[in-house]
Amino acid sequence: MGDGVMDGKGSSIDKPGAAVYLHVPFCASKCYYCDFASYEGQNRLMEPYTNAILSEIASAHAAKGATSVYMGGGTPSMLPADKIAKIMSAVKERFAPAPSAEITIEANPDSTSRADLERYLQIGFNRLSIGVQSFEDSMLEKLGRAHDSKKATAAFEAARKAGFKNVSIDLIYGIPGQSVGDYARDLEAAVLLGPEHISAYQLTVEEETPLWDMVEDGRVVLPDDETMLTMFETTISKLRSAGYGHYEVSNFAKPGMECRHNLAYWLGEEFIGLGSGAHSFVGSSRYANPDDIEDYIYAIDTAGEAGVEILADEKDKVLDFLLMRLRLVDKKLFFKELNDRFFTPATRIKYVGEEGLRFSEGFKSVYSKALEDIAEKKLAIIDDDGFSLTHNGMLFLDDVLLDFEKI
Amino acid sequence: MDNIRNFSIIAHIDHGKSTLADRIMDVTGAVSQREKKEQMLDQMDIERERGITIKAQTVRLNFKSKNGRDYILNLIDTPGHVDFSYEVSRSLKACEGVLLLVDASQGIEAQTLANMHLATEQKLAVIPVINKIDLPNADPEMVRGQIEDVLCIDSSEAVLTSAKSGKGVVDVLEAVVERIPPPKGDKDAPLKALVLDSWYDTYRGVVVLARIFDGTMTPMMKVLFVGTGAEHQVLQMGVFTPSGREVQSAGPGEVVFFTASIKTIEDTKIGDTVTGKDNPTKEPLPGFKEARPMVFCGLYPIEGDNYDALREALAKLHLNDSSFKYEPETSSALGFGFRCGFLGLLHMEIIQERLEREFNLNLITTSPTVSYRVVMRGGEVRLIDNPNDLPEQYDFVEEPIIRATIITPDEYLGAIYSLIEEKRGVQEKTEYISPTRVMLVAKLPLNEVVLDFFDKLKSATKGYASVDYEEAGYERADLVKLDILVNEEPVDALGFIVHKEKSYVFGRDIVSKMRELIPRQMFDVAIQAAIGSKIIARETVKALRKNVTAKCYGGDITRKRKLLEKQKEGKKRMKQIGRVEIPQTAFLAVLKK
Ligand SMILES: Nc1nc2c(ncn2[C@@H]2O[C@H](COP(=O)(O)OP(=O)(O)O)[C@@H](O)[C@H]2O)c(=O)[nH]1
Ligand code: SF4
Repeated sequence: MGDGVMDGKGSSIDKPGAAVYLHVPFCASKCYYCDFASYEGQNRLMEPYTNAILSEIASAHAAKGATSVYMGGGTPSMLPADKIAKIMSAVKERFAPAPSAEITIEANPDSTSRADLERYLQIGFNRLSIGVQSFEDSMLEKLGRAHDSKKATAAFEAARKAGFKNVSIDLIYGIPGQSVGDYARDLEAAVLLGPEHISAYQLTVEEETPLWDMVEDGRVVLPDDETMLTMFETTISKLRSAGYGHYEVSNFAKPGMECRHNLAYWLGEEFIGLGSGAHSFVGSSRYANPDDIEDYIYAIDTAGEAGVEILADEKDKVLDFLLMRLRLVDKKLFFKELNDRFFTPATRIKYVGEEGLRFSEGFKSVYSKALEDIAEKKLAIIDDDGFSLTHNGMLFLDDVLLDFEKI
Repeated sequence: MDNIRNFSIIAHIDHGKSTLADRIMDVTGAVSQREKKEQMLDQMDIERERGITIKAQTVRLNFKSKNGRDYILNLIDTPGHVDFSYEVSRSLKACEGVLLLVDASQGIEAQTLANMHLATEQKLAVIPVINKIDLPNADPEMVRGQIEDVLCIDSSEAVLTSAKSGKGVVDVLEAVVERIPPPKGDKDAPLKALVLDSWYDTYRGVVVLARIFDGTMTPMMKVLFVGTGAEHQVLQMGVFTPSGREVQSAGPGEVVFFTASIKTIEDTKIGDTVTGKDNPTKEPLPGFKEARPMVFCGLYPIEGDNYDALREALAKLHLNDSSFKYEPETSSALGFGFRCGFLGLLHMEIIQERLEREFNLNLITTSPTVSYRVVMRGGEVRLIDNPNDLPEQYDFVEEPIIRATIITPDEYLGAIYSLIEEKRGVQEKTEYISPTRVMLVAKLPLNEVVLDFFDKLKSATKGYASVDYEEAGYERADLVKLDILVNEEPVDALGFIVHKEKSYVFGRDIVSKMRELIPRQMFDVAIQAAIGSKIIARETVKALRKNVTAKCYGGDITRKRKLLEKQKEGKKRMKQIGRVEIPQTAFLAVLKK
């Protein structure tokens, strides 16, 4: 596939600075709560999959100077290191990440040896994200995780020894049977290890997962709302006092160590997703690759690309932006930015609101009702040039978004 | 006139009235089996060409008796349910006799009694007919005994039939000829006719079915409806045989339909007297009164934008049934809708069902209520049918009472007694009508009956009891207005008038149901039941502590959008009371009881 003839998501990437995501859809076994595009027992597809993603990288029409590269999953560390190396050298060739670029690989505690870690550094990764989830074995069991807590600690220490200077740890709270005290110990254990970055997610029970069934038929009971809230507040206070800034609903970092790649999502910057289930945001359009590994390989083999545009009208686009952007904590959103994005003559938003047709009156006027509502509910503080969510606004972010949905 | 016989068949539901009517038509050659199908087509043709819709089962039949003479038999239809007992008695006014049909395997049921009661009130000749004698468990002798003992009529001349096989049907007709007297009347007197039925026809306006008592009716005649004061000129006249056949005149004893360019069915109330405009009768038929709605409720479209559709549907149904009333009403909880009055519970259900089925409307119905007499301090009396209209100050309230007749296998007596007590009823009579069947008469507040008495009776007796009721005046009762408050705001759709003794349980029940169904919001929601300023029950829906998606999956925006979409859809179905959002399911669950 030659340059310059591609349609779709590759076509408008000519400015530097995109974030690049690479998906590795393989896992040793499926965790009970997981509904990501990841599969167990599909290792035989690793070879063709690697070839497919290589060809997707090669045909992506992109300029140089990527600001971040993120290899996530699934479990990237399941992929043999030489395959990872091949993919990364293609990425380097195609996207030429800047020397300062953040280049992350996700790893699970049980598929990460010291040797692997050293290899990752050689390949060019400079950030490691470890899916620890909990430091308590009984909790890991409830989640259906394949590893135990000793392995998590060992993986972290190995990463340090191998030379990773930027390590992130994932935690999950709100596990069936977990008390606030249990969770507080997880937080303390994490802080003790001293990673640069911590993600702490409340366990979400997704439909069509084993966990959903267990909750439905009462085999397991989730902590109640009150406990969940306490856990969330505990996360914030404990991590803050340990020097981690709370910069996104579920993300915390030492100063300057915020995840550059994820910030691209939240700030509404462009990103290119490669591999099955990966999404891209290019120009003002979003694209999704098929979740299924074989569908993805087939699409790449036959059409040379796999992205399908996600249709969205102007109103959806504003909401999509807000629902990412408002996740950032204590970060004022300026009307100017919104107007530049959506209300300039070029991007003029045009739709029928309740009061009839309204043209580029600017964000503040078009969304005045929503702004009033969230201000009245004390979910946001609004002034002349922008607004920022209050603590309650963050806690009730979904309600805020529903207000913006209504206009 | 001597060769005319006007009669009705009265029976408990399912005892075989329609089947017998069909057989009678077969026997008199009105519609042969073969013709039946074509008949249907004919009827449609008639509608199309001449604009006469055939609604009533009322038919005119020719019968040659074994005594050698020819007779005209008018079989007059009666509505089949308790709610319409007023209309039944009107129809019976047009008859000189009735066939009292009893199922040989079931015996007398509640409606048999009620109908019999109506017939004897009007001093009609009663011919007992024991039907379904072909059934293996038929027990005509037992039924004979019941007829003697309970109905106090001579059963020796009861006719035995199987409407199914046709056995005994001719005997029935011979009995009609012999035992029902011919009509009396003066064909030269001023016209005096009774409106039996009327219905709206798209092409011809209202069609009126009438029984003539005195005088003669001819096309072009100017007539006056005494009760409503409407005046019209007769256009077309005819009889149903059962297809419509035009006639040029009709005299005493005859049953005819006529059209007169009548635009609104309100002009032609059932039971009204029709007379000549120029030469009116001096003695209209007595006791014309309009059937009064007994049961009331609010009807609201679930989708607010269906209000106009609901209004049109109500207007359409009203064209053919002026006995239900409706007027616009606004509820802050349910939006725009209508306050409706019905003759009874079944009538309400029929209308609701037709609105939903024929007009594809989704409705919320507020809890059915009855019409209370509120006696004010000064002695003024107000009738209120909406709990929210109950004045704050009054002397006392009277509630409508009914007298229910229940016939049941005796094994359920205990259950029925306790149900009656639970419903604040007073037992008046218990009587064995056969070794294992009991007739029970009780007075009950209509308010209790309207809530769920019939359903409860049905489940308490596994459906083996039959019941019929009649109005029995008003009685003073200790009633209170119960409000449901959501965060201190009363919900107008949830205002109830209940007996004081029951108010606590009633309030508790609603409040706890609401608690289950109101989703948690950003703040605590207090649900209270109150009588005046006194709170009698309270529940709280605790505030949601947070509502934020923990994780956004990389750049995948679609999941999050779907989630929001779902929440948004949920919100659409909510009604707002103050700041609180209440899902419609909560109203439905509470109102459906
Ligand atoms: N075995 C038997 N069944 C009958 C007889 N007459 C009516 N039925 C049945 O009883 C049921 C009710 O009859 P129907 O005429 O509809 O009763 P209605 O409600 O009084 O009009 C129907 O299933 C009829 O077929 C009869 O003489 N013998
Ligand atoms: S390791 Fe991660 S992607 Fe794999 S099954 Fe578990 S949660 Fe899902």
